[in-house]
Amino acid sequence: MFELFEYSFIVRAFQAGMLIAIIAPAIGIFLVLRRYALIVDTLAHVSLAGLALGLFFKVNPLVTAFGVSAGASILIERLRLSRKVPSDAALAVFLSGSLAFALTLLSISGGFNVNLFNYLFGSLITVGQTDLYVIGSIGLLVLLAIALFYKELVFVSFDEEAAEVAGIPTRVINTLLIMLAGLTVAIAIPIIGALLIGALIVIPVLIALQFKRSFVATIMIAEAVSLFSVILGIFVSYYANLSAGGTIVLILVALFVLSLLRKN
Amino acid sequence: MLLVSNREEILAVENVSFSYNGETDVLKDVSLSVMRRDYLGLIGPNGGGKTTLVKIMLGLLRASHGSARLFGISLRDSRERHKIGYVSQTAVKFDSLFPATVEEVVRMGRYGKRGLFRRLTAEDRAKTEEALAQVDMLAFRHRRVNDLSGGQKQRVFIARALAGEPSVIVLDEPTTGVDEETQEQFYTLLKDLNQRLSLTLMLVSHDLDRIAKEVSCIAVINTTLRYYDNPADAVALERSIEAHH
Ligand SMILES: Nc1ncnc2c1ncn2[C@@H]1O[C@H](COP(=O)(O)OP(=O)(O)O)[C@@H](O)[C@H]1O
Ligand SMILES: [Mg+2]
Repeated sequence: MFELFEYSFIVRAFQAGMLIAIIAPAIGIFLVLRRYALIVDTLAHVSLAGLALGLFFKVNPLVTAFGVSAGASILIERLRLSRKVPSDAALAVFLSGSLAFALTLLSISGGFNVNLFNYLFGSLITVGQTDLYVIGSIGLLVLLAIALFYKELVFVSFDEEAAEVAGIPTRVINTLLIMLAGLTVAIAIPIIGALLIGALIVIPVLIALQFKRSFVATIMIAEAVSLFSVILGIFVSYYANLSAGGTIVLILVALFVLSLLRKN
Repeated sequence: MLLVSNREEILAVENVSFSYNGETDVLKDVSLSVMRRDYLGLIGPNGGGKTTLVKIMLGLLRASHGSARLFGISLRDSRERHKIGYVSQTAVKFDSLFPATVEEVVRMGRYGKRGLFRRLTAEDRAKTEEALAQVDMLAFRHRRVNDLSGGQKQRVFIARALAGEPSVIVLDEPTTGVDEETQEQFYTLLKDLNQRLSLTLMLVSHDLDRIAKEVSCIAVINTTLRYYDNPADAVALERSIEAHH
């Protein structure tokens, strides 16, 4: 049954998918606990604008996606801190603004073609060899940053004021978290799709939280759930000829419902 | 209040005024020093500016006028802020979804001391255990903080502060929403830390009569501040001031 691995595109999809499956909950746990989950969707739409830029100027759209996404994440955090507008409203502006930008740019460059569809909903065949290198290096960078700043991310998520009094640079850590989220979203788009990546970042964490374990154990459970769903999702979508992103997210939602039922 | 004392000054503010909106002063010309081994009670009505003053003394807010010091150095230039242990008014009411064991929370008290890019060491683990033992919570180290009672949570947050080997611990209304008996145990613990470990404490409360029995000195704040070396004087004088109004 493993003849699918004879196709190099599916091998690449697995490699990229597993990398994203590992990163998503590692960043997701901090976003969920800080009530930043909505930022993920905003960053996904911002990344779409980045992708559209790449397609427009004919450079690797992944590169432009994470560039724009990282830049926007800093702007979002600034706007949140300035308190000039309510922070959820600020996110809404970014979300629809960048989607509008992406749509306009894509219509100029003549293409509501298959590309857009793939980026919105994810596809196994979108991952080229160069993409894999980009996903691999950015992915490792994100994991390395989480490992290096793990203590600080935990403390700031739990008690931001005490962390600041303890001398933790909380503003830097907050901005870093959003930038890492932006990078994760950007590299996940080809496989999971911009509209579905939020689920992969958030749902494994929500499932793990139901187990009511320690912080470390919660991350481990979320990682296991995420890897399981992505691997199973890619298998199923390949054999049943379904959307990969859609399949993965449906598996996650099913597991989430099970985890809620298990509690009662 | 002149600083003619041979005891070391830990925390201090001088002529501090503060306003959130640029119009009404929440604090007006407030000066206060916390000396080593003090057990200071900061008392005031709801909205009197207690939390605001605490946040200025911790460097979480910057005074509109005046200055804040730590060990005699401007708080902004101080590299020793990790020597302040802080139990905020909201700490105990933390996110009920947050997955963390007692040990994981207390360990956070070592993070600021250890610094960026450093992993915790055997010393950090030892200090974490020591802090847990000091508040009598060692047996609960692997329990989830969310499964603890209010009083136990308080002890965990004290332990987190203790783990950082602080020179002073600042507690902002730690007994809100805790039953009478737990409160008593909590005050006993604080007194013990102050006397046995010579730990400097600053305890924020709105209950002057209760706190006067615990602390060694009192500052009463309601926009402006009155300082009392002797808690009994504070009770008597504040009563007569109240009677005048
Ligand atoms: N973040 C804030 N923005 C605006 N006003 C505030 C803020 N925090 C507190 N205040 C106001 O400042 C005053 C003092 O508040 P606070 O220092 O919290 O008092 P206390 O801790 O003594 O109850 C109150 O009138 C309160 O409404
Ligand atoms: Mg207060």
